[in-house]
Amino acid sequence: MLNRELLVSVWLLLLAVTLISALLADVSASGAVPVLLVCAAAAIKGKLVVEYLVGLAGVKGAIRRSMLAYFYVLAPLIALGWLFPEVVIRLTSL
Amino acid sequence: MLSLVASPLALAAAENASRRAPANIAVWILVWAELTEFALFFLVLLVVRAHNPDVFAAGPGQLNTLAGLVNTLLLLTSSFCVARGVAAMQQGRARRCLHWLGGTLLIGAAYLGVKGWEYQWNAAAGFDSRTNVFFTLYYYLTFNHLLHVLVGMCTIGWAMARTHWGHFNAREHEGLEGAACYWHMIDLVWILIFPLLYVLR
Repeated sequence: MLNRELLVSVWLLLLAVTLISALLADVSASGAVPVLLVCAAAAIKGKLVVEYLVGLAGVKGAIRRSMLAYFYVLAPLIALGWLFPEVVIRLTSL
Repeated sequence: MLSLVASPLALAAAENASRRAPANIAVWILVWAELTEFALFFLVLLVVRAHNPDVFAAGPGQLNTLAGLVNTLLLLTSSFCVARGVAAMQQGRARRCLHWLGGTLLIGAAYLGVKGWEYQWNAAAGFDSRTNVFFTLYYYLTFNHLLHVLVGMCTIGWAMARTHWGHFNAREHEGLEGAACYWHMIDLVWILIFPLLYVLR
């Protein structure tokens, strides 16, 4: 059962993390720390939506694991690709 | 803030431990197919950015960050509304469910309005899909996402009609859960589009 208090708390947390991410975009032009923080924020937001708004928290099975894996794999991959473009170039050049 | 959130989260995980996943396997296959499509485009964006660093360093600064931020907040709020709608139906409160789903549709319409304003803002600044490879990817990703929002709005509209006709109740509302999962997928994709296009420099 999705209760009201839980959903409101998660929603507020999602809005807060989003605003912090946007603030990071304004105050810092580039660098490893902002990239890691922004990607971590995206992973946290993905987990919150999957677990509590979709309602997969505590549900056993491949559906929950695969949905969480989407963010646990893609967010670090994006951070790595952003921080090490020369590796991406090496891997994708003929 | 954290203490406000931590205890309800732990409680929800414990309550859900014996619960099945919402919707059915066909819906999850569709959701995964959509997520995979967008994941491939995220990887393409990483490769293109690596080969065109100057264009991608300037790109986010040329976009309307406020529009991206407002649409992120709108989509997160719409996901909250859908979740409240499903929660209302789980308690057998069909009218309340309809109100929350109606709120979702209104927010979806607001998203479309903001996106239209953003595209006009870009055009006024002289940017279109052929400006450079950053804008080509920006338009492809965001317009593709916009089309998914339209499909999601139709899906939520159909779920509202079925709720109105009394097809769902506290025990049987798998169709509503399927529509909700599709809408959440739209929000999940935007959670990655927002930093990739608007935030990361």
